[in-house]
Amino acid sequence: MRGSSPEPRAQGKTRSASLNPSPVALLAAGLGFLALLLPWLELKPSRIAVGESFGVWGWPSVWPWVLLTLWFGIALVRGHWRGLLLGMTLLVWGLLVGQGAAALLSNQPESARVSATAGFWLSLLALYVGYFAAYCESRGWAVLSAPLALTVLLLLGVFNLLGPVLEFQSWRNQFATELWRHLSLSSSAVILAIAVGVPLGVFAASSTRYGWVLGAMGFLQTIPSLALFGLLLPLLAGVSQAMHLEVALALLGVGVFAFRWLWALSGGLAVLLVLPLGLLALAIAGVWLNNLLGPDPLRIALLAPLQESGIRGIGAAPAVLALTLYALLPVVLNVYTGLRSVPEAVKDAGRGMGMSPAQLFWRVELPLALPLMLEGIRGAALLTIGITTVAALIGAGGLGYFVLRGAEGGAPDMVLLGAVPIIALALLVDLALRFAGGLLRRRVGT
Amino acid sequence: MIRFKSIVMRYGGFEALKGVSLEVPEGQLVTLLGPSGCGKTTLLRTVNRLIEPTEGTVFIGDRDVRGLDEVELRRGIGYVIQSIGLFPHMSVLENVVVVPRLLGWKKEKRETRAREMLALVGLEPPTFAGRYPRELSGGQAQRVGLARALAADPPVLLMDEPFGAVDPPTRERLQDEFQKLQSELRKTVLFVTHDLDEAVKISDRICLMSLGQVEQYDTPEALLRSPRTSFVQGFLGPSRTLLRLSRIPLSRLLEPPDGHHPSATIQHSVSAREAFSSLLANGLRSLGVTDDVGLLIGVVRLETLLAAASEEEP
Repeated sequence: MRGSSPEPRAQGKTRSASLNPSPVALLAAGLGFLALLLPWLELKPSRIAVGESFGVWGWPSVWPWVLLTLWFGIALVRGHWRGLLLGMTLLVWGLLVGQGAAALLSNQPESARVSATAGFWLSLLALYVGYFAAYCESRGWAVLSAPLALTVLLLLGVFNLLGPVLEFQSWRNQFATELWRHLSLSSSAVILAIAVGVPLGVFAASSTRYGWVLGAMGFLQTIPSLALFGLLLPLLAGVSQAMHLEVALALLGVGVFAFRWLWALSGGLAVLLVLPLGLLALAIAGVWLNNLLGPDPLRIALLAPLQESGIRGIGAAPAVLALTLYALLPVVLNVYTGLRSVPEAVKDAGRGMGMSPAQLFWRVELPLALPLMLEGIRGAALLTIGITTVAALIGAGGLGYFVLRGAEGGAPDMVLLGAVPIIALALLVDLALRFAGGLLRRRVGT
Repeated sequence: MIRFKSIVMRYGGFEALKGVSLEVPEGQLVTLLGPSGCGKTTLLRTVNRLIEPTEGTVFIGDRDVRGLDEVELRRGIGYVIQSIGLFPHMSVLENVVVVPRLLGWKKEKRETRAREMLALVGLEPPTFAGRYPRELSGGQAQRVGLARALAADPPVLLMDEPFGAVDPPTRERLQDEFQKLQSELRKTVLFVTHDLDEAVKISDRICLMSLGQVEQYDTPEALLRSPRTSFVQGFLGPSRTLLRLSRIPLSRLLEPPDGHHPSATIQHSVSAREAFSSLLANGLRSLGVTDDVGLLIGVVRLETLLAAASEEEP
């Protein structure tokens, strides 16, 4: 009877599995149920007025019941079915919100706004948690159901009556500019962090004596961003008024040579020299790179104070500089770790076969460290996209502009107009760089 | 020819090598044998200047290695270490052509050469050329390592425990094949191992080291027959008689068939040690010996083997 024994065991397994659903899915369903009890929409007479909340049961609809059933389903089923049900839940969630907004606004004046509140967001959280459970179970086609459902909802325009979308429609042009600015600020900072961080990481990894580089990067990371802005503001303001561009460039040129000479003499003195000059170079390069990539025109005014070239105490100069300093740690740390984790035997083989130190670096160490380096760049990019929000505080613009204006004006919908795209941007960049990292990993085989 | 002249290597107060002098004759395979920490790898690495000795000189041919550019020197020496030394981000083919590439060979020439080398070490090029090191077994990876070291046809090979990371049956097969290869190629090989069986099996000469000094430098037969110091005696241990049998080809102990039909047979190409094991295993006093195609060509008797083992014993 050996042949028949696996079958009952397999049956028993599926039965016990359906009785013990995944805890993550249970959590998602629980959050989903809880959300159904909370108010979902808020009707306000105007965009800054206080409004009245409504739950999903507040208007006649079949969708709340369908949602209730779907959450039950998600708690009970497994595998591909859970992914599929999640897609459907997302769809129903959107339809319900669209229907609710339309019902609430039907007899209201033009200025009335509908905003999403607790229940709406909690449902979104529940969907995210459920999606995580489904993703862990099956990485197949089922995970595609959620993006698909979201696309359908956007095409149907179910969110068009909600406050943030109306805000977007009235700020459409400004939104495009600020989004562009946000992207140019963060990418300038990440590009500079790579340009500075990779050589620094290589330097730190080259000898155990240079471990202090990592310590210095870690210290930079601990300074709060507002404090860093506050520090940079008077410093940059003073320099940008007093120093001419050609003087700054000449100083940097001389600095490079002086550094080489000083390095041979005394490492500490050389570092002391390189710090202010490096910051100056980063500030200039940051502004120019940001202007090159972003919506603001690039200006290079020789024989004039630095502020004529766009380097000022406020605006892009302190923003990109501070963002670059923050992005350095993940880049330097991962370059360091990547190079340090190249197996000694591999390096020994390379040396023993007659590779020069440069050949060993470019042909062996760098390719093997690349996946980890890319991880560092991913970390730096996500971090930067997030904290670029604060750049609006010092007049550099970006999506933080809406967050700031919304918070000042008491218009939560406007805050969301800034915050939601930042989150979406971060998720997209994360996904893209993860994918690139995966490809690289497969190629390098680590 | 590789010649070491009173090599001393000091790390702080510790002397890893205490004045080693040694000559590896052209076309011979010399193993550096000894317990870990005896300085054998350090000595090996002074040849391609991965380690610069504190005192003393290494010559290749009649040239002092310090007079040569270290990168050029290394490109002219085959270097094999345990399988982890393959470059994980390069395919097998790319791994094999590393040195030819460094030497600036044309793409076509080096790839033809790489395919030849893969075939030489028993890996069919169409199957293995495109694979990555992670897709290879330990034995296959080691073959690639050997092919890589041979690719630029260097006269000298340095091998640092090349078969240390593979399982015993694979190791024996690799040893057999390497031995066959070496009998054709006649490279000057310096081979580091801590495995006595391996050293006895493949070496022309063995240099037994302990605590940074050469204890005895001799042919395997002489080393096993007359250990010169108590350290050598201890290192060889009680199995040295048996090991001596492994150096004796069975064909030397053959007697003509005595007319009886033997109850067990053995191939003529194996060593006397294997015949001895087979006799013990079968509980017999004599074995039939066959040629390559299985024809009976003689017998070998237990008494002959015992006599051969104890021959010239002091």
